[in-house]
Amino acid sequence: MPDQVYLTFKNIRKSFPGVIALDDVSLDIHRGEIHALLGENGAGKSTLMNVLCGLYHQDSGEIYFEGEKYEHNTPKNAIAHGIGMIHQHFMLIPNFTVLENIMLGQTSPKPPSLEKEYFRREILKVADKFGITVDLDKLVEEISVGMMQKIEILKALYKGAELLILDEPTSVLTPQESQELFKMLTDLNQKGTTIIFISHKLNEVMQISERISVLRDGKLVATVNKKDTNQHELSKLMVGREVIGKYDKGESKCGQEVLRIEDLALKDHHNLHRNLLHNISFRVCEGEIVGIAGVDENGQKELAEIISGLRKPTSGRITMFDKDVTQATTRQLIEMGMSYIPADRRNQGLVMDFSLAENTILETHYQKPFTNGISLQKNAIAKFATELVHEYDVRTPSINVPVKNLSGGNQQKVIIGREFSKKTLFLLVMQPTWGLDVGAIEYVHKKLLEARANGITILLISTDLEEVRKLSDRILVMYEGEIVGQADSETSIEEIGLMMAGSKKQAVSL
Amino acid sequence: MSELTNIKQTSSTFKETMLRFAKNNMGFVSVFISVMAILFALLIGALLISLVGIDPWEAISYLWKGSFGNRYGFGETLTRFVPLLFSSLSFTVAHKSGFFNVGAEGQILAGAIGAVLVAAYVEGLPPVLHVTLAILAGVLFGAIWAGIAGVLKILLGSNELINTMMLNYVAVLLVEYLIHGPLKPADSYLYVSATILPSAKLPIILSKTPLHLGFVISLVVTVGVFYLLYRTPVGYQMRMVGANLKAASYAGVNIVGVTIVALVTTGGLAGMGGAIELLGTQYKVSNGFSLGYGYDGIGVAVMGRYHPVGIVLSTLLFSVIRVGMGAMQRGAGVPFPLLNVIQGLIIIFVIASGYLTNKLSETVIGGRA
Repeated sequence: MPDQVYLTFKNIRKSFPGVIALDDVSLDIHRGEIHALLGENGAGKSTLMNVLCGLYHQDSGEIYFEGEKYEHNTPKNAIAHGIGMIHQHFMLIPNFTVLENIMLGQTSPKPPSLEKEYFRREILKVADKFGITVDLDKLVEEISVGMMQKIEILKALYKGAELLILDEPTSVLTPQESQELFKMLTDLNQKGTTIIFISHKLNEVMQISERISVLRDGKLVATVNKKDTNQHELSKLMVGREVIGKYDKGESKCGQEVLRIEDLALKDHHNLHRNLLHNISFRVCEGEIVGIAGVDENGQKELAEIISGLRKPTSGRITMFDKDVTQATTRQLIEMGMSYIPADRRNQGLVMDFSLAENTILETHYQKPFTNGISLQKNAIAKFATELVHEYDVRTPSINVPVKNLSGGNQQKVIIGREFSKKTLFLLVMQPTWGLDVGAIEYVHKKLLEARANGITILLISTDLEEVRKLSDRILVMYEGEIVGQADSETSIEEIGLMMAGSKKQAVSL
Repeated sequence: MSELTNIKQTSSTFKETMLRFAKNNMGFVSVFISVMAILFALLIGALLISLVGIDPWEAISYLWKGSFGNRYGFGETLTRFVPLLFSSLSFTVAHKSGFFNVGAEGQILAGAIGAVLVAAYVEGLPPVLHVTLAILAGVLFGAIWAGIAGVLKILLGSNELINTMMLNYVAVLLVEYLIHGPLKPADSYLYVSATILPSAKLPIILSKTPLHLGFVISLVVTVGVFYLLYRTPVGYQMRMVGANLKAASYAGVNIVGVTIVALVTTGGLAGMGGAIELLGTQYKVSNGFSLGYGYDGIGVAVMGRYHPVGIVLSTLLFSVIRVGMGAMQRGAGVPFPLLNVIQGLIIIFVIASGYLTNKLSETVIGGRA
């Protein structure tokens, strides 16, 4: 049964202006298997699936369903063929309940007043069948990210999906939630659902899939059975060369104190009894990388906003280079040598509608040589942007394209280039490699270590524990707005994991 | 069957050729699409006109005859152009800076009030100085009028859309009050303000027409506005605040400061439009002073896609429609309500064609793997 061909892609080509996204891709998906599509960002994984789901149309090539030619690939037809795609960004409405989200767009044979009860019964039937437990009456904004993903899957199953496509499903999950998801996927698979799992994370792919297809630059490089391969080989296939597993970063030259945070607290202004940050004290000294690990939404964002001057703490004191900067504005901090690489590169780190060149001067546009006091100096800006593109290897057709047209990795390179090109003494980095592919991750890490070697002080906030361990000289763990533990790169993942989950606390002071 | 595939293939290569052409000539194609949109709107207009029993060709020909077909019409069209251009520039600056100013109508009136105070009551100034001061007074009053909405937004967080709109009504009533009382000359039977002094009048630049120097000023200001927006640090900050507030504060931009500058600019431009309309065309403030220029400016800016050339062209189109439709009414007897319908059709078609152009440029230029 598992070897029965379910879906066939035959010589699929798809090009966008200037890019060949899919180059002659042929691939078989077997019924009842978990098939991983592995590849770096921009390798064409999502494009291939979007063609299948009818979001794009292939330029040439055919798709066959159980030997029958599948034409008119439209989203509607895809659903009718039992295809359910779970996108990277959830398609849920936060202030609707789970039930309302699932019934949205569905028709029922009942009159409107009885619709909800009808849907509740039908949805619960499906949920029971697949062993998914949900609370249908919770608002989506109240549930965890892991739960939202379950809802997305249930939504697809309810629409009758026999083939589930998950696009980078773990990028928003904690390690624990990821494991839960894998368990759920394995269960579904055993009940007959075919699953296509898109990822660039090797360990996940090795854990969950039976067969793995590797895409690189729009071409299918290989399809291998899991049992015949290993992570090392896959990474070579995916990147086209060897990948470094561990960095040799050398001893830190810990010097003067750069940042000192004392008793920092932040109250939620909607609910003054709730502490977003509580009792936070730590310091960072010159030339070291301090990593802050923790599961997402445990106060990291607020901490970063306070350190970068975007938000004021309720109480506490921040000292940077021996100056009290608790009330300093962002511009004052920037002029003191602070740089900030924010987690949300699309909405905070860049102005998507501005050109690449315009984005390279976000913080420095009012300084020489970019302005002479009256007008912006186009040539100086263009020269700077061109150098940045060159030095940081940004892949772009020109410096005048809107930055939204670049891939995530190249957008991040623009930000890193910009932040490193100005006078930086203290660097605050948050989730620097979120959503990037292996090559780009390695590049970002290399740049951070270079900065450290040049004596720049770095505070790295990341939910990617591997990343924090690889890069940091010291690790602090955040849980529910507090620093609950300290570790270093020798501390085991299990121990840090316990701190991240809040079940192991130790007092941390300056 | 094979014939069908054949047709399909030819059509797909035809499509590719067209797309390639569009990619290389995007500017031309977008103008072409807009022109086609106007023609389609006129075609439907012509159908409607023939339904009421008027020769559509004759009626439509008055559109041209009235606006550009003779010297006076030409001057009249370009005179209408001036306040409309200021109004759309005002809206453009606001839009680019991230707020919605529908208050140009009120700011135009405020500007006219400011200008009339200087132009009608300050005596003994040489013409150049008098005109300059009167325009500056208009800018100041317009800026203050927009500033009221700005202060409310910054201090209380109240919605500027509602505030600017409400302030329009306040301005209209303020004008009513002033022309019935303080600004009404004692010897006048009409409810209008005092007439401005000759030294404050803008000179006519095309004889036997109403076309005055304000036309040139409006074009110079257009260049200035786009220079400000695209070539100066302040304009850069305004666009940054407008495009992405989060990124602007991340970059250390003083949001409140930039918003104030933007508000003063947007109000000042509308106020300048009001002042120049006063000094060049109307010479006194009456209760029908603005004729809806403030509202039309929004449509013009959207139609011109906030682009300098686009705005100038769409302002011209609006002026042609306004003036030419007067001629259609007088010359061919087309009923006024129908003219409004045709004007609406043109606006809808041009704006809809803008989406088409967007979509097209996304297909041929945008898109990514």
